[in-house]
Amino acid sequence: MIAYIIRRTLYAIPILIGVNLLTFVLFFVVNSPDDIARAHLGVKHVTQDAIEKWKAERGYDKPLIINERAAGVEKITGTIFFEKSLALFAFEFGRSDDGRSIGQEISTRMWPSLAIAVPTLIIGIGVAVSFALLLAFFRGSYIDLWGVVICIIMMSVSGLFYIIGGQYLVGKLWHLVPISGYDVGVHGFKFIVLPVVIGVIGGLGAGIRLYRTFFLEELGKDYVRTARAKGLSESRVLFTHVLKNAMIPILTGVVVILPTLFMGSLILESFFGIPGLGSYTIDAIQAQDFAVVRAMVFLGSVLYILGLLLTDISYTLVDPRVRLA
Amino acid sequence: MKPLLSIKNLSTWFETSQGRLRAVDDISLDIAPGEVFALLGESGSGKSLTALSLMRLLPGTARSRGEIWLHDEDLLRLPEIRMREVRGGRVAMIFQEPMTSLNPVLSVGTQIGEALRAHRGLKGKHAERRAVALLDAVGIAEPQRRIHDYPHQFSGGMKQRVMIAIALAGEPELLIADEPTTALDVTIQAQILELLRTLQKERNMAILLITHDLGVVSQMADRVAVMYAGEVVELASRAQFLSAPRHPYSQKLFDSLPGRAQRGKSLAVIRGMVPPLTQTFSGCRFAPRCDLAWQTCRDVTPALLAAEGGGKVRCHLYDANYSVMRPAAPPARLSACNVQAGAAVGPAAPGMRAGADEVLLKVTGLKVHFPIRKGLFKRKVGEVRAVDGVSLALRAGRTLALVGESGSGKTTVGKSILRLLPITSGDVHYGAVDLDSLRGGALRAQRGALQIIFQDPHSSMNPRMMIADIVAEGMIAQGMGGDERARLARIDRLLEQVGLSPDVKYRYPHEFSGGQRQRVCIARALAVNPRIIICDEPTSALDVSVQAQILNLLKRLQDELGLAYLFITHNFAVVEYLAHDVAVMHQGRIVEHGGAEQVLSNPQHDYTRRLLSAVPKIAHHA
Ligand SMILES: Nc1ncnc2c1ncn2[C@@H]1O[C@H](COP(=O)(O)OP(=O)(O)OP(=O)(O)O)[C@@H](O)[C@H]1O
Ligand code: SF4
Ligand SMILES: [Mg+2]
Repeated sequence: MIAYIIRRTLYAIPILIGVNLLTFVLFFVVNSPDDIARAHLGVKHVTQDAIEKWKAERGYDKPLIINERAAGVEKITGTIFFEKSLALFAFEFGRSDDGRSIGQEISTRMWPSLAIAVPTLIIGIGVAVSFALLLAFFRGSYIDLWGVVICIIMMSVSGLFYIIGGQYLVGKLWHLVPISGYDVGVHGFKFIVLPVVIGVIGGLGAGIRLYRTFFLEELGKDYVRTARAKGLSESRVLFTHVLKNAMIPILTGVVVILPTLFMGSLILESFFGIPGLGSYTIDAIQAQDFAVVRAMVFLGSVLYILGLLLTDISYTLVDPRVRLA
Repeated sequence: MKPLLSIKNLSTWFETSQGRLRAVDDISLDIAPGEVFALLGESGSGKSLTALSLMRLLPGTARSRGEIWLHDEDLLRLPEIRMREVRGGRVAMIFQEPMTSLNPVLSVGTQIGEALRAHRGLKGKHAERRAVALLDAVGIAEPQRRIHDYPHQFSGGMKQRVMIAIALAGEPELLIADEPTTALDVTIQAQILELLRTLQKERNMAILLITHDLGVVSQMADRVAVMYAGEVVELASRAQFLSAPRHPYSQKLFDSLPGRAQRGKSLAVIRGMVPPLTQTFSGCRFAPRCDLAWQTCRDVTPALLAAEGGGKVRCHLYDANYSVMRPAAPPARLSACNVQAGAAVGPAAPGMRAGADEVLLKVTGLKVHFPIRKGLFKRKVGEVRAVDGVSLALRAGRTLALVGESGSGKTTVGKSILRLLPITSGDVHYGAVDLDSLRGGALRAQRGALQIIFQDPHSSMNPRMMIADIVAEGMIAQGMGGDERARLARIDRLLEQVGLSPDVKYRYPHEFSGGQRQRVCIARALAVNPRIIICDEPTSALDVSVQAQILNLLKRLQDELGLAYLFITHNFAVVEYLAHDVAVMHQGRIVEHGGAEQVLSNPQHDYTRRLLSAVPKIAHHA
């Protein structure tokens, strides 16, 4: 088990290096530091001096890969690639364009993100699994048919509709909770409720349909026939036998995204004014703050790879057939 | 004695796009307490659906009608909640696929415990003690420890034992066993049947044993019902059935069995196929395939009538009112050799053809080892010696049977000869050519000479390719068959050679039955003019009557074309019928090798004896 985790972590290294190189190429080669500076300072009437000064302030004045002017290790370390790209491995994200430490921002902003994402995920799975079980129980009947139809309608409606509609109804008409904003502690609760509910509803259609297929697939298997032949009730067949087996794909599907929950939801957070990492990323994209975007892309990839590793490990925990070697 | 279970006029049907499919059509049966009642029939005859109707476990699209009396309760009219007490309680069921019939994520103890709780009200420690006792009763060693294991930690035979333990948990009066040994090896099969026999005697439990295997009937049954196309066509005691089967279909089943007595002869075949069950029948359902049919058979539906000497039979030959109307010939049993026109062959005659005695394929010291990798860097920590020093010689026009249980390495030998698997050491000579030294084009050229056909004709064909393309594929790869026109003409000839109409070449694999698909596979193999065909269990997925057709075909092709077969099988009846030489394989080695006659009648090695004694013998003397 330990050996497996170590080996998988080692396998992750080349992938991470690849991701790192890719972000480097995207952010510094395709888009040269000059372009970035010009984008910030305005396209017209920019003097070369202003560009150089902007670059120097942010450490973008160094050569990309090899520093000819420096001596010794400086040749390698005194470069943009080393300082900006490789440093990501040490979680040194540098500073954003407004001069604040990105690492600092991440560590404070991830909490609001989690405050929304974790309840959304847990409640979402609970609700989707319950409804999916219900449809599976009544499979082939009108309840099932209409359930699926409603799921498809819910999937076809844009997520923005739920957000704006929810804010209008609950916040503006009924005045139950504030339309947007955030606070810590108990006071935060009223800000969290609406985004969580809307996050759950937005994902419900797809979730129910997916889990229903998992359940129906399991229901067609031979061991279900054995369970029925034992004289077990249909609900027991469904809740112990089918649910236990279907939880394997459900859980592993969830584990993949667990680490990325830190990153928050781009749209939900910006619409509800949650100061999380999702809105941070959106703001950075709007402000063309490449340092932040680069940090978030890299962080997202690392967390996703972590998720894949956790998935494999979770298989060993829920499925007795899988033993990692 | 009052019957334990009494089925009266049971029908089970599906509404399909082709109309109503009557899978079980008005059958009536009685099963006495403590008897083993066999339900015999070919694939699709409605055996499983009869059993599922009893348990009320039919698929949602099925409907059934009739009466099923268990003592004095009609199961079909019981409310579902009472039916649950019957299921697994008074009537238990085990299935054909032990591999998939257990829940993979629950320990076997839990799975037995569920049945104990539902029917005996046992929980916790009591349930566990009882579950251990049940595992012990079905012959699982160290039950105390194994009870916490999961299904994947058991072999196929042991899983079937666990299934039986679950079934016994409710102490049923009737155990329905749907092909309980079909998916298992001969030796395991014998053990499971033995176990069922013992349990049945100890507990005075009745068994409804569903099977398509006459050997199993002969070994187990007290009484037999033969099903054909959804109907019961014959009911008899075992003795009666084995010594003098009455229905022409039953007789044909016996005649199509391969075996030593049939050596050199063609097996009797039942022409045609099981009719689709969506039609409405007029007359006898077997009439289109029956050698004894006459006009009355096609006009009047025969009834299931009591026959002389006990039992029942559904055939006009036994109905005095109609049999007198039969034009000629006595209604006696037809001779066993109902050889089809054109299929007549003499005894296999080695030496008939020039160079027939030449050694075509010589395998010496063949080893195939698979590495086991473990640890941080997937280091090789050991190896599975699938094939460990096998030497064989195959002569032109002869059949060498390679027999052994599953896992003994038979298939690996076949595949490595064809270089479908890398050889660890040893050499394989085709004539004077060392196959192992060939690469690229030279290898491809030699591949034509050696062909293989597999057990499962379904998965060995690309479902999206037309028959013509499937057959032509090898020819194109070998650059033979000339232009498009010549190739099509050759495909027509090949299809005719394997007994298919040339029109089928524009159809797709799913439109064919198992037997027809195997014919296509044989045509594909023949397309490249092979001299050797490796047949890997080519008939074990097929029913006896279809198996007979394929064996006849292989035999005829051998005589006509001088083919050599390396015949991989675990079916001794086939070996007795077809093989000239036999090699017995056990744990990667050949433990016995010699002429078929000698190995089968005077086995030297213990393992061979064990294999032979596990084969269900059919005590049939006609
Ligand atoms: N779910 C279904 N829908 C439609 N037809 C079905 C269904 N299940 C079975 N059938 C049909 O019912 C008939 C009888 O099937 P059944 O499974 O009882 O055969 P069987 O005698 O048990 O055969 P086998 O030896 O292959 O198990 C077949 O013609 C089959 O095609
Ligand atoms: S009734 Fe006629 S066709 Fe049917 S089995 Fe008897 S002889 Fe053959
Ligand atoms: Mg069946």
